[in-house]
Amino acid sequence: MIRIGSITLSILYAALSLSAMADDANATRRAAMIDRIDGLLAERWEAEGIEPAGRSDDSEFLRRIHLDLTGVVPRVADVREFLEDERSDKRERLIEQLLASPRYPTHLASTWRRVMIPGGLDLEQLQNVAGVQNWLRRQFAQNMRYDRIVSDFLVATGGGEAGPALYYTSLDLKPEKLAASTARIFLGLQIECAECHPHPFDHWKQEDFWGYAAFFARLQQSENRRGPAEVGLVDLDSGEVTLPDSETVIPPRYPGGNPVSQEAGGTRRVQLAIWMASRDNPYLPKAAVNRMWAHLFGRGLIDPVDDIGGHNPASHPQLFEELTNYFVGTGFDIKELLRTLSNTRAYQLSSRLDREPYPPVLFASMAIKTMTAEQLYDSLDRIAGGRPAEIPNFLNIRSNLFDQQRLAFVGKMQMQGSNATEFDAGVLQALTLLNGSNINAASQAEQSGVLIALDSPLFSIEERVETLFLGTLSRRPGTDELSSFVAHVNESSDQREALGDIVWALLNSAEFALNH
Amino acid sequence: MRQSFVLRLMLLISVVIGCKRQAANPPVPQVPARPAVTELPPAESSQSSTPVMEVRDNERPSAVVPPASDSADANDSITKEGAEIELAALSTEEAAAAVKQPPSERFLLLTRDGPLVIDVVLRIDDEPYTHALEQLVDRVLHDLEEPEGKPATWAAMIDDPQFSYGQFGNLAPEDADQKSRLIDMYDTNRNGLVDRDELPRFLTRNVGGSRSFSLRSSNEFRGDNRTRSPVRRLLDANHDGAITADEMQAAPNRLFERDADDDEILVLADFKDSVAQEQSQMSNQRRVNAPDTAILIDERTRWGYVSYALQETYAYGERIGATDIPLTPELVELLDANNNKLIDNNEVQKLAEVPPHLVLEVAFFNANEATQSATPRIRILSACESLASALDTARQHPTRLSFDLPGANLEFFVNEDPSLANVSQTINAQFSMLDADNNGYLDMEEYSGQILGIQIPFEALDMDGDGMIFEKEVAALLEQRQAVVRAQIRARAADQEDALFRALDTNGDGRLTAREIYGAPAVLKALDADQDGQLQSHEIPGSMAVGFVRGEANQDNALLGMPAVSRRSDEESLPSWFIGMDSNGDGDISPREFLGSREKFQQLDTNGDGFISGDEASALPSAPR
Repeated sequence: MIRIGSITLSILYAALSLSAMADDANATRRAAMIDRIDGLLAERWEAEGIEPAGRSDDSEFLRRIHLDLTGVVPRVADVREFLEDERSDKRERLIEQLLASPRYPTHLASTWRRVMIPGGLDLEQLQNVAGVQNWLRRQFAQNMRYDRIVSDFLVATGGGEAGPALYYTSLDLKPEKLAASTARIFLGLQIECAECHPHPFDHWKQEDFWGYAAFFARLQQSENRRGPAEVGLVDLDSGEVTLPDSETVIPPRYPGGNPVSQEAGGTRRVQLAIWMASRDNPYLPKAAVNRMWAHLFGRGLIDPVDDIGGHNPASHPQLFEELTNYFVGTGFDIKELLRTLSNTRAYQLSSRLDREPYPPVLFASMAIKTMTAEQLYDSLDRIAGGRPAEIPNFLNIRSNLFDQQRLAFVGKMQMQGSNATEFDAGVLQALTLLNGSNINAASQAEQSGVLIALDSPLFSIEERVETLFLGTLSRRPGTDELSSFVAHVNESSDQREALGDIVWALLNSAEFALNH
Repeated sequence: MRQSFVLRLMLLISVVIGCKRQAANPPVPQVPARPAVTELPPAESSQSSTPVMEVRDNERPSAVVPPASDSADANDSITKEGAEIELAALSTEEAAAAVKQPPSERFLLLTRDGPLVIDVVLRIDDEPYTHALEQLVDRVLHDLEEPEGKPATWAAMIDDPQFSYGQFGNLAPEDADQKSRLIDMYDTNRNGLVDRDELPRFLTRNVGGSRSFSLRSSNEFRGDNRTRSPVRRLLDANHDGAITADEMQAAPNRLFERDADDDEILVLADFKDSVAQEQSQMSNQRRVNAPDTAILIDERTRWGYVSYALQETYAYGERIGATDIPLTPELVELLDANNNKLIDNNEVQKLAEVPPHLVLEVAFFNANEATQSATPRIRILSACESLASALDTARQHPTRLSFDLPGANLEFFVNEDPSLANVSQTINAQFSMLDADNNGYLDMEEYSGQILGIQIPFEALDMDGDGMIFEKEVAALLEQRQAVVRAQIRARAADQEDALFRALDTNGDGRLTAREIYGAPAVLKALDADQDGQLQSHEIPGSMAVGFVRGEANQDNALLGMPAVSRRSDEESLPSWFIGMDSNGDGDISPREFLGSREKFQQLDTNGDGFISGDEASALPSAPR
C-alpha cells in the first residue's frame, strides 16, 4: 500500500514537474519571441532613422488591453486596482487575468464572427449569427487549437454543433460563396477574384478557384429537421462544379495546386479539413497570425489582412515568418499568440507622438483604433451602470445579440467602415441614437446608474469627478481638469445634473471614442 | 343548512387533529363522512381546507431556519423578503370563521416523497377568478342581443365581422362549408342558438378546457433533470459522473467561465451553447407510462387515473402504504376507510375532502389608470404542520416562492404576458408605427391588413365605418382580444430543467449571483449526503415547479420558463445610491461594482464577507454632501 502510494506520489510529482517544466519552456520560448519581435521592429526603426514613441502610461495600456482582449473599457474598480498596483510585473499579470476572464472568449468570438459573417446583424439571420458566435466562444473558452477549430468548422454537420452549420446555410450552401469566404477567413486569400477570370495580381487561375470550390460542391441541407431552427448538413456522394459558361467539370484541388490524392477517403469537406490542418498548408497559420497581429496593432503585417500572396509582401517578412513558425510551434495556440504579442514593447508603445506620425507600417507608435459598435455599446452600458437588459427567453440560448437595444445600436453603427483605424464612426451620432433608450435613462437621475450611485454620502465632489474620469477614460483627471470640473459642479444649482454634463462631455471626447 | 354547518365544523376539527397528529403519531382517526365535493356549490368547495398553520405578513418568524448558505447576509435578505411564518393551531372558532373561503382549486402534486394536496385561491382584480370569464360571457351575450329580444344565432354571429375577426380570434370562414363546420363545432346542442354555456368554448377556442382555471403537467424533464443538468455536466470537469472535492472547489471558476457578458449573473440559458432547440415547445403531453406530475381535483377528476398515477409514482403499481410516501404518510390514515393500511382504488376519492397540505393565493391584476404596474403575485396562505420544517426554508418573492422538501425543491411562480400589463404602450407603439403621415388615424394605404401580429381586415377594425382607423378603435380591438386571455389562469406543473442550478440558487430568484457562485463549493459539499467527497447525481435534490400564468397559449414556453425575479421586493427601503451601484441588480455590491476606493469598501463591508449588502449600505449615515 505504502509502495503503491509512493509510486502514485512519484508519478504525480513527475507529472507536476513535467508540466512545470513545460510551463518554463513555454515562458522561455515566449520571452525569446518577444525579444525577437521587438528586435526586428527596432532594426527597421534604426534603418529608417526614427525614434519610436515612448512607453504607454498605465492608464493608456490598461484601457487598450481591456478593449483588445475583452472588448470593453475597464470598470472603475479595475482602474483603481491597476493604478494602485506597484508591482513591476503588473502588466504581465493583467494580461493573464484578462486572458482568463469570461469576456475574453466572448470578445474573440465576436471578432471572428464579424469576420465570418460580415454582413452585420441581420434580424432574420440573428439566430444563426448567435449560433456561430456561441460555438466560437466555446472553442476560445477551451483555448482549442486553432487548426482544430478550423477543421471542426469545415466538417460541421449540425445537430449539437449547430453553430458552424449555420454559417454554411447563411451562405446558401453555394460552393463559390463558401470557397470565397473560407479562403478569406482561414487562408487570408482573395481567390474569389479568380472566380470569373485569372487573379489580376496573384497567380490564381479560374481553375484554382473552382478547384477549391469543388470541396463544397456536395453539401446539402438535411431533410430530417425537427423545426425551422434546427440546421443539419449532409455530404452527398455526388455533385461537381463546372467552370462558368462551360461544361468543364473541375475536380477538387487544394490552393497551391495539388489535386486530391486518389487514396484520400472521407467526404470532400473532410479531405479539405485534413489538408487545412496539415503542414502542406502554409496559409492557415499565416492568416491567423496576421489577423491576430492586426487585432492588436490595428494593421496586419500584411495589409489588407486577408490578401496574402506574392503580390502583397509582408512589411516585416522575417518577423512574419518567425512569428508564424512560433505559432505553429505552440500548437496553433491563439491565446499564447495574443499573450506573446501583448507583452511586447511594440504593443505597449504609446499612441502619443510629439511629432508628425510615422507611417503605420513601421509600428513605431500604437495605432489609434476605432471601437467597433459592440465595443462602444458595451462600454457605454458599463459606464452607465444600467441593469442587465431583459433578454427574451424565447430562444434556446442566451446571447447579448438578442438584446434589442444593443441590436438596434449595433445595426445602425454598422454602416460605418470596417477598417479599425479609420475614424468615421462619430460617437456623437452614436449617442444621439441612444436618445430615449434605457442607457440614456439609466444615466439620468431618477433611474439607476452611475450618477445616482455617486450621490452616495461616501464621496466628495472631487471623488465624484475623479470616478467619472476613471469610468470613462480609465485615468485620473489632471489637476486643471479636476479643478475646472469641480468648479462647474460647485457653481451649478443641481449637482447631479452638473455631473451628468461631465459624463456627457467625457463621452463625447475623442479620448473616449477611440482605442488608443 | 344548520346540520350541514355542524357537519363541516366537525370535519374541520377532525381535520385539525388529523394534520397535527402526524407529528404525535396517535391512533387512526375516524374521519366523518361528508358530502362529495361535486355536490357542493363551488364557493364552498374549499371549506375543508382550513389551515392549521398560518402565514402572516409583517411578523417575525418563530421558526425560520436559514437555508444552506455560507453567508449570514444572504440569509438575512432572504427572510426579510419572505412573508413570515407562524405556527399556530386554529381554535374551533377560527376554524368556523375560515369556512368563508374564497373559491379555490385543489390539485395533487406528486413530489418525490409523497403527494401534496394543494389548494390555491385564485383572484383576478381581487375578485374570485371565475368572475372574469362569466362577465365576458355576459358582455358577449349582451352584444349579440338582437332587437326585440330575439335570441342570437350562431349563423348570424359568424357573419358579424365584429365577432369573426380579431376580437375573439380569427374565425373568418372562407366559404359556406367552413362556416357550417364552425357552427357545428361550437353549437354543441345543435339548436342553432348561441347559448350561454356554449360561449366559453368559442371565446377561449377551448384553451384550458374553456375553463377559468386549468392545470397541466409536463414530463419533459421528469426523472432526468439531475443527470441531464447542464450545470452538473459543466462542473464535472473530468466527466466521471460525479463532482469530486476538487471539482467542488473549482466550481466558482467553472461557473464564471459561462458568464459571457461578465456581469456576475448566470441564468440557466447561459449554460446552453447550441441554438438547436432540444424541444420546440415543452411538451404538455405525458410521456407513455409516466403519470402526470400534478392532477386537478374537481368534479371532472377521473379517479381511476388518480389511483393509477399514485400507484405508478410511489408503489411500482401496487397499492400505497404509509412507507411509500414518507413525506405525507398521514394520507394513508386519512383515506384508509377499511383500515387495511393501504390506499385502495375506491378510497382515493376522499382526496377531495382531506385537509390541504398547503394553501396558496395567486392574484392577477388588470392594469388600469390607477394600477400602472399590475404585477401578479403569489403567496402562501397556510400550510399543514407536517410541512413546517420545509416552510422554514421558504424563500418568498412576490412572484415566486420556493422551498426544500425532502429530495426535491419545490417552486411556485406567477407570470403573465408583458403586453397584458402595458396595454396603452403596446397600442400606442403599434399605432404610431403604422401611422406613417402622423395624422392621427390610419387610412387604407397605411394599414397593411395586419396589426398586433394578427390579420384583420380594415372593415373589422374600422368599427364605425368612416374609412379611418383611430387609436381608440385599435384599443377596443386589443381590449376585446385580451379579455379572453385575461379571464383564464393556466397552470403547469413540471420538473425543472436543471436541478443543480436550482440547488445552487439559494435565494430562489432564478439566477446565480456572485454571492451564490462563490458559495457554490459549500452548497455542493452540503449536498454530498454520504459525505464521501463526491456529489453523485442522485444526491442532488430534484426540482419541481408549478407556474400560474395568463397569456396566449402559444407563448407558454416563455411564460412557463420560470423567469428570474428581476427586482428585489425590499428595494424601496434601500438607499438609492446602493441600487444605482448594484449594477447587476443582484442585491449586493461586489468589489467590482463598487465605485470608491478599496478602503471605503472595507469600511462599509462590516462583516468582511466581500460584499456590501443592503443592510451594510443602509447603516451608512447620510452625511451632508
